Amino acid sequence: MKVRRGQIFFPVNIPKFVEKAWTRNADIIALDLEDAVAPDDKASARTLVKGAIPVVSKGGAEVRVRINKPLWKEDIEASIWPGLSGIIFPKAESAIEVIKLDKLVTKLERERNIPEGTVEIVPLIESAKGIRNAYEIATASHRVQSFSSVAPGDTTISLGVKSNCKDRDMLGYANAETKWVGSALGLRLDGRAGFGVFIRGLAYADFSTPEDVFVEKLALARKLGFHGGAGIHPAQVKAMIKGYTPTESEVLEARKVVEAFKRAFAEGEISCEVEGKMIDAYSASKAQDLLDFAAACAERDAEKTRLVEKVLAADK
Amino acid sequence: MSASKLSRRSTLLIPPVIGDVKKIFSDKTKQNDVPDAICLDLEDLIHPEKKLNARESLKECMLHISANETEVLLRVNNDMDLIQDDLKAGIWPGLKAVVLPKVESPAPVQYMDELLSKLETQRGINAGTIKIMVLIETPKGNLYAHEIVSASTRVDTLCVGIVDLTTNEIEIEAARDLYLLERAVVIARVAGVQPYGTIGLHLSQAYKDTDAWQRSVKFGISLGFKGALTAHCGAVNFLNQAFSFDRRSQKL
Repeated sequence: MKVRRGQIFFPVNIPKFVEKAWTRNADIIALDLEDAVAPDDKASARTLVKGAIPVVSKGGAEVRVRINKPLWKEDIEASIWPGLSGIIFPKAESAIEVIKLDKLVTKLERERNIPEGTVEIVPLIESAKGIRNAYEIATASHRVQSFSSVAPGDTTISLGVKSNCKDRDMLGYANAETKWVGSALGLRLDGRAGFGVFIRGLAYADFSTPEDVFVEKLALARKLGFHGGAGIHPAQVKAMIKGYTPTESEVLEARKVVEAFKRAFAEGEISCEVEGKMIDAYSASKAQDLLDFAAACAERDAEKTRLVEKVLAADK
Repeated sequence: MSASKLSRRSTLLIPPVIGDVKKIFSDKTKQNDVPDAICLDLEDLIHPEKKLNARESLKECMLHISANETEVLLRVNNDMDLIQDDLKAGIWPGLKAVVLPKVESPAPVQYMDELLSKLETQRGINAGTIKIMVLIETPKGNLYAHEIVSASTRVDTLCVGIVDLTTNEIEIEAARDLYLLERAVVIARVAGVQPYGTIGLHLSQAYKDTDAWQRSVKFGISLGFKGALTAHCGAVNFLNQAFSFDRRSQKL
């Protein structure tokens, strides 16, 4: 299970972002060629991707590139290099687009000695048409392994609804469709701008949200089946890494549940009681999922710490 | 929709234990605590090692339930190794419907339809008597819900077990779960089968207070569900009350 709790986006053509990225503790670093890069700078930004991949990943983060939809050929050509984990494909609207991308990625993987299938395609649903075709997009290629909630900015424009509405979920159906398609197909579910869920009283991309509030909300997002989210500010990533990691008390409780159920089941029972709560196969399996994810998080964190320490030692 | 389809406001899921069945019909049980239907379970409420014993107790339990003018349903294992023997042990005159759990595609429904036809012939039951309640419990099941309910003319109920009738334990607007519930109701109505909810389908889903049971049932009614399956006898009362009122107040 790949642990991808927090992804940070930044423009690939700002050197200080690229140089400091490895210190941000992100699980994924997304080098942006799209909205964060001015049209006149796109051609030069593209040439920086190859060099940036090893720099940003030295702290253990996976690397993705967000391409421009109209410039997909040039952008992909410039991005498929060893170390790249995925291509973020914005404004995905149909299966055929994903199939075309897949073909080009496959060709480049072969040419550049990258094991076939290494690079994922991460479609972003950001329009009415994309919502309508979510299932077809998700099944268009084996490279599609995760699905996120719709990107609120462009989607609200496409749907003609208010963005950043704090008291009503303007994207309830859209997010329901993507979450449902993703879970039906067994894909990973990622939230957008950290939430992936509508939370009353909070705007989607509000950096001023205090970390503890953010973390608390993410615990709810986890309950709804999300395993990670994306942001553009280091503070968001920090909160996401924390908020998407099961807490110590949750782990302790889950362990009790799993152990008690195992004992009961071995004795021929199908349920048991733990601290006044009824436990059955259903709740025990949810607890086991939490333990598995917590273990994977711990392993991921240890790996990142080891790599960061290695870089620091080399710098001395 | 025929009247008979609407008679099942509540279905209580229990293991086939004769003592438990008798308790439900004892003098101590208030009338409103008696469910409209009892579903004898061979699936999750039975430990794998006890499935054989459970099968043997079905007939006696069924007779007792039928004698008390309550409908009898049977939940089988959606498992090629078990389903045939489950049905052989449970298809007796008086059985109204078989609940097929964890359905994700039309194939197991078609397969069960064939098995039911054979058993009906062998046991002198009129062809097509035994209905099927499909239980969808996963996003994939919801995805193929229309194909699933259309897989056999026996299907008379679409029961949604993926989420409870309510999401009120989560403080978020869990719009996605809501959407799946609404979608299932639409598909059930299109197919002309009864949209059935679940409340406390799992033993672990117990509610803290009677208000919570009541809120859940009301929420389910507002979504268009007509009755629900529960594993908690404490929920039966609320289901019977709430869905009776619903029947009077709404044209079905």
